[in-house]
Amino acid sequence: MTDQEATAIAALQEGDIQGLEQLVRLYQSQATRLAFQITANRHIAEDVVADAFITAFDRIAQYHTNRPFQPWFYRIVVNNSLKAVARGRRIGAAGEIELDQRASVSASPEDEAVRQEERDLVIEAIQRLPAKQRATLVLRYYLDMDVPMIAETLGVPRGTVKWRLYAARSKLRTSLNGESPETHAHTGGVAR
Amino acid sequence: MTSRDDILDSAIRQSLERWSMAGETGEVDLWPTIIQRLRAQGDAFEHVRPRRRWGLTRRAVGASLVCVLLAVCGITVAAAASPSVRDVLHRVVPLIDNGSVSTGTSAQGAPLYMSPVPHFSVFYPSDIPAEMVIRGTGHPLPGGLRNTKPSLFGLSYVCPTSTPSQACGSTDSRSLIQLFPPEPNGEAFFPAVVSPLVEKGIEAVWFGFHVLLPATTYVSIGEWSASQYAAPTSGETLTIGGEPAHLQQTPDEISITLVRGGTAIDLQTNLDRAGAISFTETLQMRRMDSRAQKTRP
Repeated sequence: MTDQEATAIAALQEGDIQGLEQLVRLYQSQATRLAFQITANRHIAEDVVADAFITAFDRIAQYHTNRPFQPWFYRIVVNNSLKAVARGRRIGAAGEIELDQRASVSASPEDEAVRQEERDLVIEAIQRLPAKQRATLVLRYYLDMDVPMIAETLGVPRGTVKWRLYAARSKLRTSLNGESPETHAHTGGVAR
Repeated sequence: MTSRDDILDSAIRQSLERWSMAGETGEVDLWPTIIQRLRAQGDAFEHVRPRRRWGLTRRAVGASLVCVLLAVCGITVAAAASPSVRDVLHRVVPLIDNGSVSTGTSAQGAPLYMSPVPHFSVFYPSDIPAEMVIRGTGHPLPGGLRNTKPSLFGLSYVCPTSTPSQACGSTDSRSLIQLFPPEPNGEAFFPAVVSPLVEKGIEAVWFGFHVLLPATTYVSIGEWSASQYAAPTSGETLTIGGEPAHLQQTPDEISITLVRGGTAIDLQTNLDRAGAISFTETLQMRRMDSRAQKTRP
């Protein structure tokens, strides 16, 4: 936990709203990206994250400072995101449209078009995953959380996390069978 | 892990990164939205106004045994046959007024008080959930004119009477309130752990009580003196430490604003804030009431 984070949490627990504001400044961008990964809608993601901060505000007395704040907060974000998805706020076309509008400035138009297509295939496959598997995948690959931290964030056993990751990767592998990862590697596309 | 797995992992990472960027059209600033929602839900505060402090650290405050808020207050409410809260709140009597003992002055000269830890007790049929809310206002300003920091540590717990064998609410030692399961006779004790408030130098606390009130429901607040509960006494005027406590009644709830810390506090400000909170809690009350209606025969 950073000093800035600890200060903000301590302030909030003492009833200082500025502590919440500091936490918002610290986490809003990444939390919004996280929520977007799950909801696939930027406006819903922002709505989810705003609510998550309010929830954190309400529950800050329940937070133990000897534990990392990030998983505690992201658990709220992820759960809110999953609820939003479950409420029928399904993945829409908005994200895809926004995605298509982005272009790299460092690659040729042809190369970028190929990479774009490859990424879109992966993204589409990810979006077809069940929400819980997608959330697990996002925490693992986007936030680089390890399994114990994911388990804490999602509030599920580690075995469940491992299973979800395994299942998600298996489905992705199957989905991308036509556009296998090896193909990506050869083309220098999505592989690093 | 095979290279095939590595490639897949890399593809996932890059795609997610790309996908996350697709959701951004600019810098995210959720703070105005959050503030607006907090205000809307009744957590009225004036975040724009800079926070002013006593200039004392928590340790210093604790070491000098200063501050504490509450004396003792109480209300006893007896429900009539109607479940209307209005009907049962017309008779408000204080339980005890122990007054408060000045324990000195703050570094800035404001009087500080020590009061007993209050005890809250709600009597209600065990099949009706009850909610209790405690909220605190901020630090009164030294020598000051008004409170600047409103309630920010409000907690509210709903006692799930469907599981009376378990303590309801949070039993976290750091929580401000601990709720205990209703006794077989329908009595539930809510000993408020106010020491965290004391440590924070909180000198004014707003209490809102929301109890679904069918017939024969009683709400009382009394003194909690470690091991015993002081029985209510009658009276018509609620005073705390010689000062009047502000009582607000609505058809759906009752709230009391206690003001401690001498005369430096802007009472009206507290009253207004309590009113703002009351509005929200009224809504909560109604929601709970709707839920409870289903459980009634």
